[in-house]
Parts: sequence; C-alpha cells; structure tokens
Amino acid sequence: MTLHFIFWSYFAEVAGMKETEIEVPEGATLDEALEVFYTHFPPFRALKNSTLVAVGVEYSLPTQLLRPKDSVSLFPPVSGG
Amino acid sequence: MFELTNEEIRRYSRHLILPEVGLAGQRKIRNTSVLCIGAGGLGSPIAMYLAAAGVGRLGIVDFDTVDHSNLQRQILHSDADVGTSKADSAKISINALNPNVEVELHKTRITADNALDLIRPYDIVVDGTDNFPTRYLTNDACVLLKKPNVYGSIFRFEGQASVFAPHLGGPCYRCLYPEPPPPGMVPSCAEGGVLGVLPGIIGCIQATEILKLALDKGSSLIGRLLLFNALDMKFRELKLRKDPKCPLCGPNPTINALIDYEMFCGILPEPTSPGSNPDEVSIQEMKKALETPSLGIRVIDVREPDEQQIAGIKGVPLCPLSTLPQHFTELDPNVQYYIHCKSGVRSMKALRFLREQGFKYVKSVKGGIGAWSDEIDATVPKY
Repeated sequence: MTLHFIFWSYFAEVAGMKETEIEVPEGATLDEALEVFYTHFPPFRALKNSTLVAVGVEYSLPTQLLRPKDSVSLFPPVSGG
Repeated sequence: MFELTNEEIRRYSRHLILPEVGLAGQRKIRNTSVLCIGAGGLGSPIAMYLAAAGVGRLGIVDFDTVDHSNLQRQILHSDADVGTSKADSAKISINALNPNVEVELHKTRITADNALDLIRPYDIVVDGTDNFPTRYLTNDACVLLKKPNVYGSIFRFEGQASVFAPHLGGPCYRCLYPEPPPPGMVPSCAEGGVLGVLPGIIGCIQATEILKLALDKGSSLIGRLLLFNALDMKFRELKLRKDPKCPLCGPNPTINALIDYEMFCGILPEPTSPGSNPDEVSIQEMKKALETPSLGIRVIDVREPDEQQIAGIKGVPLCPLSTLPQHFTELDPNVQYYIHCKSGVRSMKALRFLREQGFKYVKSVKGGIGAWSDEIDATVPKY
C-alpha cells in the first residue's frame, strides 16, 4: 500500500523534499512502515527518538495499524526562544 | 483574597466586564505566580502581557546580558539596555507597565542543582528557553513537581506551543520527543535566524494559556500541539497523547530525579583554551595564515553568500556548507585549510565532512568571524 510522507520544518531540508510517497507492505504498523521509510531516507534513522510522528492529525504510537493512503507527518524538535 | 483597589479596578476594567473574568477572575490572576524561564524572544511578550493582565508575582530566570542582536525581537529590552542584565532590564519594563506586579529576579543559569528550588514556589512555569538541555530540564522538573509547563519554541518562520501537565492528564515534552536531536543538527536562532515577530505570536499564545490556567476557563492546549507557520500564515493542530513508555510520566518511570542535561543532549564541556581542541585554531592563527602565504595554509569561509555580504574578510573565498558536498572536489585534499563560519559550529561540521572525504589537514577556526570582529577588526559587523 502507498503512504504519503510529509516532512515538516527543517526535515524538508534533511529529506531534500517536502513530501513523498512510499510503498509499504499491506497492513503494516507505523513502526514497520518507518523501517521501510528509513531504507529510502537513511539520515532519519538516527533521528528516530527525536521525531514526532503523526498519522493524519494525531500523534501515533509505533503499534498503530496503517491504512492505504494514510499521511505520515514527521515533525522535528525546535529549540529557539 | 484581598479586594481590588480602585486603581486596579480602573486598570483591569476591560477584564472585569468580561463574564469569564470578572472580579473573581481578576483576583485569581492576581493570586497566580508564574516563573518565566528566559527573558528573551518568548519571555518578552509573555512577561509584558502577564504583567499587563495583572499576574501578582512574576519570577524571571535569566543570567544573560542584553546584546544588540536581541533587540530585533526581545521587546522587554531597549537600546539603552545593551550590555546590562536581561533580568534587570525585564524588571524595569515590567514595572513601568504595571507597578503592582511583584517581580522576582533569578540571575542564574537554571541547572539540575537549582531547578526544583527555583520552580517550587510558583504555580505555573513558562518555557521561554533557547536550547534543548534547558527544555528537557524544565520539563522534567515540572513533571516531578506537578507544575503545568507552558511550552513554546520557535525556528525561523515556524513555532510550536502546548501545555505539558501529566498531573492534569496530558503528555509531557518527553512523550513527544523522547531524546534531543544530535548536537549541531538543529540550528539555533543565532545560526538559523528567526523572524522578529514570530516569538511575539508564540509568546502571546503561551501568555493566553497561562491566563486560562489561572482562570480555569476554556480548553487549554493540554494534549494538543499548536503549530504555526508565518510564511504560509497557517495554524495547524496535532492531537497528542501520553507515551505509555515515557521514562518520566509513564506508568513505570525510570527518571525519578533530575539528570545531567548537557550530557543527555550530547554537549561536551567547552575546552578551556583554544589549543585544547586539536581540531580548532584561534582567530589569531587564521590571521597569521592570511598574512603569511608562504605557510601554504588556505582559509575558506563556509557561510552562505547572504552572510558574506553582511560581513566578510577580504581575500577569503566562500565555499558554503550547504553546497560543500557538490563542490569539495574543487578543493585540494593535500593542502592545509583553516575553515571559518559565523561562530565555529558550521566550520566544525565542514571539517568533519572534509575529513570523511580524505582531507587530512583541516582545522576549524574557533569563534568564526565573530572572533575576527572582536579581536582583529571591529569594523567587520557582528550579526
């Protein structure tokens, strides 16, 4: 199934694009989909624990089951004040 | 609860006629104490609007002094305050606006040793800090003390805000971001820039949330992350939830006390002298290399073209870090290079990249062009 990945803020610079579509196995969990994603975008693996991942408009846990055409948004932490 | 004075009734009249505030609400605001960590971009509008609204006791934590480059966004401070303590400057602005506010200054760096004592005497904490170690420290201390942490952070044209309060049912900062990104990954405002009005918008959202908590009215940002993009002029909202594996606020916490946050964020202690980091050279050594071509050392500037137009050193070619992967082949791996940027962060990144490409003789110039302005040529502007 196809998932839509959206890169927020400076993650767009890390990815070199604002969004992309990635093919993952049918019935994948969020964690499994991210593993596929990391093979396409290796720099994000090191950022795994500092990335806020949302499916649609909701923060999601790694065990969440995904459906075709789900949007996965990756938000980076920012620290400015 | 004391009655409001006639002066206070006149001052807060537009609050008093709001049914959601009224006399009882205004007294609640006056009886609220808030600790504002940081008197910078976010802390400025937060402190000013809380003071205007009549918060009774306002603590300000800031050890820094006012710099010219702060004035583009840190509206607590004025041109005449440059070089003075940010805390003192904040108190003058706050009390000029509203002398009824009791301002408590903490001119110290908040650390794991003092955070709990600093935060304990206040009802609400607001995070206006500018770095990851202090954000994790503020979060952890607030969770341990069961204080609401009104969060905001900014980057270039974008900002985020939320209210972290696990004791009121919401998640904490660690539920969102269990670990900080590797050091150097995220540019600070000093390195990445920030639109001056942006902290005004995010700080005002934080101030609004504080007043709502004080009044116990409306729906707070607990469990929601508000995302703002000034270029698109769009607000978006993300529903949050507690991470059941959160080491701090989860059901099986492993963090029960404050830790070493610099180490947690991968920040190494600063070397005591320029010579103690073998990858760095001083600005004086860079000057010598420029003046003495026979040394065979080439100096390059890895900042972006826009920055070189603001401030540049004559005779130093530009080789921006952003395009270094495409252009490093134009450099000679057998030549010795001194690399400079604005402050010494990006030049260290460029150094690491070039080393990986087989360049053996590269050094990063400590302090970058800022050190050049300070030590060599004061006509080169600092930005």
